[in-house]
Amino acid sequence: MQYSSEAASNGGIKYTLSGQLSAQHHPIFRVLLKELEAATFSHCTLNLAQLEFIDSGGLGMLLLANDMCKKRGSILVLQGATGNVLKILTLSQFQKIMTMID
Amino acid sequence: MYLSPQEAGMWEARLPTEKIIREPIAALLVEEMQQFIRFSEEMRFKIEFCLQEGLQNAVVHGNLEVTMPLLSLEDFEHAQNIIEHRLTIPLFNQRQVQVVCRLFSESLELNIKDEGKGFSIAEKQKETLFGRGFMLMTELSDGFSYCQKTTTLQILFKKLS
Repeated sequence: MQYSSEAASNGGIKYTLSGQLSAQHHPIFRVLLKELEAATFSHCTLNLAQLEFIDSGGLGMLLLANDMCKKRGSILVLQGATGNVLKILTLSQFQKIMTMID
Repeated sequence: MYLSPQEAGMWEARLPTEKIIREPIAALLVEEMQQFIRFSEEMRFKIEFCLQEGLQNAVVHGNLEVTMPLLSLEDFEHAQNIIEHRLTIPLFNQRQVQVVCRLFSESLELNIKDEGKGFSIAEKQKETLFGRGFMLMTELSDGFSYCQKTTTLQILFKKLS
């Protein structure tokens, strides 16, 4: 997994993830979580449009990010998931847990 | 090559625990499978996903015997530290995972055997943050079972095309 971050509108922060988000990528996602923990933002968007694969370990990492945002009174938005990533998120009913947009 | 041919329609791989923890072995195994088994792109994803989940369970819950619930970032960090520590201990580090693929006329059976003490699927599913793997395997395969006694997960795909 690779990621980049940028400021978003209305005081938000946006991360773009690419490649695979699976158990093997926990170390790099932990770096992202640490960055998120230290950042100031009103809401956080994870752009998943370039993400090609996700497993239950990756889903767990998204839930940790969601919990972190909630604790700060913010929200996490998942954006642009397609194909097999969208399929796994939908089967896992993530649309009921966090905001998902196209 | 990880997979080596055994009898007709059967291939086997023996994988070190640390390799599975660090590397995308499931994707590599599926690439190798495609050299001798024809399946659709949709099936490729299903096989890779289930193999990835099976291998991760085999090393984390099986070979490394990490059984704690993962309900927070603190739990997760703690579990990662346990994993890294156990990877330095020969008792855990020397354990392997055996993957056996059996191809029948229209179906594929994967057997993933670890060298741990066995774990309870019901207990793993209670771990809410990271416990969706078995539910997803149920959705994406045509059946799977885990035998605690033989520490073997069996996954079945009935149609490959």
